[in-house]
Amino acid sequence: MAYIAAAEILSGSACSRSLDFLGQTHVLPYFNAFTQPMLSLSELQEILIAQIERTLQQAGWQRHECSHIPLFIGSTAYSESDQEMCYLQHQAGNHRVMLLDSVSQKIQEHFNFKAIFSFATSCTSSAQAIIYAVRSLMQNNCDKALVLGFEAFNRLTFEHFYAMQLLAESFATAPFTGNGMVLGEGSACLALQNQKPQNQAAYVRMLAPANLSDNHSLTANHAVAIRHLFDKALHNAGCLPTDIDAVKLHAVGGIGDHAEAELLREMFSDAYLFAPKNAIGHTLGASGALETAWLMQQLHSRTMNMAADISNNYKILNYFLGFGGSLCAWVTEYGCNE
Amino acid sequence: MNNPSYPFHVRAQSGFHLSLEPDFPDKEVNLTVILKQHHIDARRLSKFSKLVMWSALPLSRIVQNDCAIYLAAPFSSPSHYLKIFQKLLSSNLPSPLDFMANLHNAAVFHTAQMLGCSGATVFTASNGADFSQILQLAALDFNMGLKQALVGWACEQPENEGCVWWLLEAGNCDQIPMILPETGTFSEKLARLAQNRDVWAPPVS
Repeated sequence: MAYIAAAEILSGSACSRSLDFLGQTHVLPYFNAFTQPMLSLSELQEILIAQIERTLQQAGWQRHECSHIPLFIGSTAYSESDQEMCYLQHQAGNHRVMLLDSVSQKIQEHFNFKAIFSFATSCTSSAQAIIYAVRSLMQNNCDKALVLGFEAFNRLTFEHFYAMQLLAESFATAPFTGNGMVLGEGSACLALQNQKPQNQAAYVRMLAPANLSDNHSLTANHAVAIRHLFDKALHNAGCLPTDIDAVKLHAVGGIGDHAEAELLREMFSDAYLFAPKNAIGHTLGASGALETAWLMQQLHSRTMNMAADISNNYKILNYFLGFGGSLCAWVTEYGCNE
Repeated sequence: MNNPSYPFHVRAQSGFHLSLEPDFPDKEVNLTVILKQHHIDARRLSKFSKLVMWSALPLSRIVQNDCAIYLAAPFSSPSHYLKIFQKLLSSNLPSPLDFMANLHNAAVFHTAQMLGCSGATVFTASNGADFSQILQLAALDFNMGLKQALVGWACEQPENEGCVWWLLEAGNCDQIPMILPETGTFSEKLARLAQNRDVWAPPVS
């Protein structure tokens, strides 16, 4: 069993970012989360350390327990913003040695985790981190686990996505409008444990997750692979499509939206649809953690304009798709403690 | 490997390391040519992806289509990354195809495509602290019913290039003794791992 004991989120608000492309300046919608326009490595590490501290506090865990707790990290860009800042400050060259786990080094010094696993599977990075944290808990490799997802603005991603014509010119008001992606930055930390939290009015249980790869295309997910993913997630969770009350969408606003929407209509026609990217943007490798934390907020506050009231054992299918053919899904169950 | 707590055994190992291949000049060009001979168009791929694919190729005949792939490296392709990074920051010139080739998980995607695998693909960052981490992730999946996995360690740094793959299969550890190096940098450990030539898979014909 795996339950979410706490979820801390630092998500963006609707703003804009500009870029120069072929001599012209373009202003595009973007969700800014951090005070600084670009984060240095030490600024990023400080933000993440503070977020982990808040998560531990919210979950009622003690810092000294970290030596028994594994941390699962997911990000696309890791410290790319720092690389770009160093380059600009030193003008060509002199930037730091490229190590993806440089972000985690200071975190490890601060908390002394049992182990740190750093995933880099494009947009599913922190979704994969959640999957392996849940599997570790379900197999009793640990009693508690932390998942951290983060993404900070960087030119390399933003300007290449623009050059590939993937970005939207305006904010979307509904999912599957298909006019492009709106990117965002942010971070989220989830505390997972194998005991049901007793100090909360409600709980979220993570059922056995599913991950697979789609080797059809590096950048586009094939409908057959997405269907296979849904089937596998339902099978692992012991659910039928009719058991699903709601779906947490991927829905980036790209060319894959159409196939996704068709499949959802076919398999989950009565389910309520959650579209976090309309609220916080597409946070790439951080989206697994950020969108799960965002969903927790929605469930707990019950402020969503739901098609039906959230009842006990309310089941939500969550799925995440990424470049490199990386696909992840799981079912979460929301319930009330008696 | 000799750790009986793992729910798998090592069926085969395959790999490439610069220190073991003194007669392999201009690796990037040669790898493209060699892969082309196996009907793989690698012209747009990063050096890292080519290295990883070339190292996995000898195992292609025994890899099953539900095989999962796990790869650990300190970074993906520093040379490819620097190329697009400098083009963008110094000349404001994005290069989309190079950007796609630079995805950290591009190498596992291309390897899965080359081998026809649809199991999970995972890329993790590792600076050498613990070579067994990636095996721990695979073990979690073997405990969930996974039958076969490719687990690899790779590095693309000047004078320290290499990739080693282990083909793991469900079941208890068997006779093939495989020892993970415990000390040294990532590339030093990788070089030591690559020296187990006696258990390498047969060369690609």
